[in-house]
Amino acid sequence: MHPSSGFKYQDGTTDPMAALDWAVTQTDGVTFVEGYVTSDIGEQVRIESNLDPVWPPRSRGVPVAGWEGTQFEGTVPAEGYLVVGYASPAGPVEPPVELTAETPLVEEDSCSFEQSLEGGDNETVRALVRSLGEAGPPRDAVPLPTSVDDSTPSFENCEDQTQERPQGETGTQTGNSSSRNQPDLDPWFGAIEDRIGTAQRLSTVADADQARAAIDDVGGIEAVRTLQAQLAADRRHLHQLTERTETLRTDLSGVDVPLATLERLI
Amino acid sequence: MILTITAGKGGVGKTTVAYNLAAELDAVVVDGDLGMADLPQARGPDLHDVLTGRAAPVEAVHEECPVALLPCGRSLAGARAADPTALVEAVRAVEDAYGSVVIDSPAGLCSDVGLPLFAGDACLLVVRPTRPAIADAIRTRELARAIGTPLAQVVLNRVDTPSLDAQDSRRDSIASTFGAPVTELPDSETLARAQRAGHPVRAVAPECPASTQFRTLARTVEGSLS
Repeated sequence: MHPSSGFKYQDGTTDPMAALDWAVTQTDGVTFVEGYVTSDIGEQVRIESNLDPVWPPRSRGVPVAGWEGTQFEGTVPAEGYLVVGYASPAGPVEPPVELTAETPLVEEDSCSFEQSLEGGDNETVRALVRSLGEAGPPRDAVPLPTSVDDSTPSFENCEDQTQERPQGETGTQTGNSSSRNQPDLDPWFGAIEDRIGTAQRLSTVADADQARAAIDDVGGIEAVRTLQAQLAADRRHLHQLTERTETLRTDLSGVDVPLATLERLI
Repeated sequence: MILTITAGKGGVGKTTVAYNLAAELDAVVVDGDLGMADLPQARGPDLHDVLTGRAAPVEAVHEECPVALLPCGRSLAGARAADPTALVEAVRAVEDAYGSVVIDSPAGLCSDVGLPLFAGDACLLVVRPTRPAIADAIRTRELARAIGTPLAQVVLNRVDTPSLDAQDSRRDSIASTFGAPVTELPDSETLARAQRAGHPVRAVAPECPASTQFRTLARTVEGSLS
């Protein structure tokens, strides 16, 4: 764990009311960050991630309360601690998180959905799902698709069924997995788009300094080699998907169930 | 206008009320509960397609049905893939295009009830005069209150016709429990037959008592929401 100093005022002095320790690891191209905030007094704190984008932990499919973009706001109880965890496709930087604001608590904070009604519709609908629970079927009620060939990407690896990026493994919940026989392609496409973006940044460097900075962002030259290999795999997979899609489209356009006839026969 | 029809528990006739009220209000009925899954309808996108972003809400409205219908999704996979939080915007888009929406919401207290309640300008609770139905409905009423959606009517459904005195005192007692006016809908074989055939009762028997009662209920609800 890396301890960072307490909150820094604009004049550079620090006030050791709250302290933020952090740890960062990287696995399979995903960076995982843990932040651990302690304080002598009960406070509301804001933490800013230096990694962008942030994949926050999810509860019942929506980001847990407190996350907005790359910022997290939460409460540290007096003489207690607050744990913050998230993931990011961006490479690790140090420090990965910083404490950017703190406010001593005046009164008990609660996060019922009644209070979120003042936060606008989006926050209310998310709070409703969090507090009332999602009504969808459990993961194992949805049958797995039959796999076609080993070189196409496995959709069991697509972790998120919403339209957003896959979330990190930290936090209380990793959210819902994709449905098995109706795979959600958005997480896979999103990951490819991210890799294309990274490749474009690497290929538009103007000088050696920029190149070194870009390589550091990705996580070193080995990570760049990995990226190159992954991009080649992406090209192959997309080509196979396109061919298979065309075949299915052709088959679908030629098929029609004679429902009216069948209904008369039963 | 968006009206959410819900109940404390299933089996009280919520879907029949939703369907017939939508017919009287000239509204699109959104099937949030599989209640209209066996109504005849053309192929096309359904609520799961809308909630996964594959179809725009208006594309999923079937106007060729006796009552304009946004049908429920029917697959487990679709239910897992759907984003429930997208329902509120989807219903508002249908209201913008068509003017009025009736949501047939599931019964109970989960977010598949909470979100339709939040989307509605008002709600209507269907109960039967049995202890479990009313006890469960009271919990749903509290949920609506917490979400801030006013209760426009309680529909006491499929009542028999005992003496008038008993009816009045039961109706008053329910009205004061729920804090909303109560409409009684008697049991009706005509209504049940029409529903089984996938039609609103006003289309098959416009002068029968059930049709008259739904007409009155619709005007009352419109009046209370205007």
